[in-house]
Amino acid sequence: MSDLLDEPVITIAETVRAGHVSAVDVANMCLARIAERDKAFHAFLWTSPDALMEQARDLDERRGRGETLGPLAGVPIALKDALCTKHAPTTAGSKILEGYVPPYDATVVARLRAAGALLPGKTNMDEFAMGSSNENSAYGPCKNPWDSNRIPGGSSGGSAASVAARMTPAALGSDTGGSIRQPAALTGTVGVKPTYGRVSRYGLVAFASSLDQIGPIASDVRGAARVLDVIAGHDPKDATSRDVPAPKCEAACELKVRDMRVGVPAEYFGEGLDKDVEASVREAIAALEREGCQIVPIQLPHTKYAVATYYVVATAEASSNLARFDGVRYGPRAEAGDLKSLYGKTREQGFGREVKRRILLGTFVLSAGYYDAYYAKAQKVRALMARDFDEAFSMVEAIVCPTSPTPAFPLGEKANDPLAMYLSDVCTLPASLAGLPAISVPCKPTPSGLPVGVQLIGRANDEPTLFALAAACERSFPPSAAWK
Amino acid sequence: MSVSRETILHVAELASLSLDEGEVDALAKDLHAIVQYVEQLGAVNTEGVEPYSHSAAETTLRKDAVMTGLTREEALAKAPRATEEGFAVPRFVHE
Repeated sequence: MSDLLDEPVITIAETVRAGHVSAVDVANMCLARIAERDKAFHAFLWTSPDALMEQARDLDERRGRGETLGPLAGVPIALKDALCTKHAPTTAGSKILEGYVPPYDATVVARLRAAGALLPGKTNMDEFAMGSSNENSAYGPCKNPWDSNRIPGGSSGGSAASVAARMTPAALGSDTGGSIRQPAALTGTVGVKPTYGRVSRYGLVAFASSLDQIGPIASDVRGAARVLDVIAGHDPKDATSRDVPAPKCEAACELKVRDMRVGVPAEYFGEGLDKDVEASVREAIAALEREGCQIVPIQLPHTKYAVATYYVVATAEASSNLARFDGVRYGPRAEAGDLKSLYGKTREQGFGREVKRRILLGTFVLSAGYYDAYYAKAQKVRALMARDFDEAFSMVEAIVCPTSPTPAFPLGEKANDPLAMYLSDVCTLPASLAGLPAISVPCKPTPSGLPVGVQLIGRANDEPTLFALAAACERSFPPSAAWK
Repeated sequence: MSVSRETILHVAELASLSLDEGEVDALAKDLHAIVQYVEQLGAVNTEGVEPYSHSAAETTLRKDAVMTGLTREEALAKAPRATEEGFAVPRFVHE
C-alpha cells in the first residue's frame, strides 16, 4: 500500500478526498519511507512525527464529519528549512539558528495546511540558500538519490532529493538564482520558480530580497501546478506579493501548445555546456516541435554577464539581510564583555565559510568608494538583461534552454572553488534577475543515467503558458523515480 | 582592484564579523578572484541606462490598522538572554 507514495500529488489527494485511504495511513507510510530511505541521502534535517499525526487525524475526523477536504488533502509536502514553521525547527541550514523554533508559520506553510497538506519535516539546504550543491549545509550535505556519490544540486537540495526518492511527492523550495530549478534538473523532478511577487515570502528566511521567490518541486508537472495554485496570491503580510488574479496553473496543463512560438537563445548553448545535456535539451526542443510549437532562434546578448551581475546584487542584499543574525533575539550567542565583540564573535562562530565570503563581498560592493563601480553598475547591466527578455518576448511566448550546464557533479568537485561553483548557475540566473517565471522539467537522461532538466522561461505573470509547455514536454519524457 | 588583507579586515569590521587570523588570507584570495571576475561588467556600455528596480506601482500596502502581533513573552522566548522588559545585552553606554 505504501506504493501510494509513488503516485503523483493529484492521485494521492483524490484518493484521500474520496476516503479510499486515510490521511493517517498516508502519514504513517511517509514516516516509514523517510526512516527507510533517508539514511542514504540526508534530505531531511528535522521531522515532526507528532505534529504530522495530529494533522492527519484532524483531516480524517473532518472527512468523517462530511467536510470536503482541500485540494492537497493527505499529500505529504516537505518544506525547505528556510520556511518558518511553528511546529518544527527552522535553521536555514545554519548553526546561527540552531535550535530556533519560530513563533509563527510562513504564509505558504499556513496555506498548505489549510489545503490539507501533510507536513512531515524540514529539508536540508545550503546555509542561507547560498550554494549550488547542498554542500554548504552546516548539518552535513544531502546526496543525490540517483547516485549518492553526487550532489543533488542546491540550494533546495533536500527538497529535490525528497521528491526524487519519493519520500514525498512534492516539496517547497526557494529560488534566488536557481535554487529550485537546478536541483530539480539534477534529480529528475519538476521545479518551478514563479514570477517575482507571485508567492508571499512572509516567513521565508531572507537571502536577497529583489530575487527570492518560493515555489514547488514535484514528481510531475500537474502536481507542481496544484501546489503553486494553493500557495500563489497576494498576502497583506508581504507588500511585494502582487495583487493580481491568481493563475490557474493546473487547468493550464491541458492547454494546447500548437502554434506557440518558443525561442531558443543561442547564448545558452555555447562554451561550458555539457555535450550530453545539450543533446537531451535539443531532443526536448524537437519534442515541442512535434507538439506543433514553432521554434524560433533568438538572442539574449547580455547573458554572459549574468554570473557577475548576480554575485554583486545578491551578495549586497544578503549582507544587509543577514545583519539581523547577531545573537541578541534568537539563536546561539557567543558571550563577550562588550556588545561589539558579542556581535562579531557570534557571527564568526555561527556562519560558515561561504556565508562569510558573501557577507564580505556584499559589504565590499556597497562600501563607500565602490558602490557606483560595482553595485550601481550591476543594477544597470541587470536592466539591460531585462530589456533583452522584453525584446525576445515581443517575438515568442516562451523560451526553452538548459537548466544546468552539467548533470549532477561528484561531491567535493567544486567545494573549494567558489567561482567554479558560481558558474554552474549560469542558465538559471537571467530569469531570476529579470523576475520572470521559469520551470525545469525532466528530459532524456544522460547515457550514464543521470537526470537532465530543460528550462522554460515565460513572460511575467504568465505561468499558465509555461505549464502548458511543461506538460507537453512531460508527454515525451514521463516522470521516473530514483528509487525503484 | 586587488583585494588585500587590509580590505578584508576593513570590510569585516563594517559587517560586524570577527575573523580568525588563519582565514583572512584565504578569504582575501577568494574575494580577489571573484572581484576580478566581476570587473568584466566594466566593459558593458550602460550609458543612459537606469538601474534595475521592481516597479513600486506593483507594491500593495495594507491598511494602516492596529493588528495583533506577538506578545512580549513570545517575542522574548527564543532570546539567548532576556529580562522581563526586553533582550539583554552587555552594558554599552558608559557614563
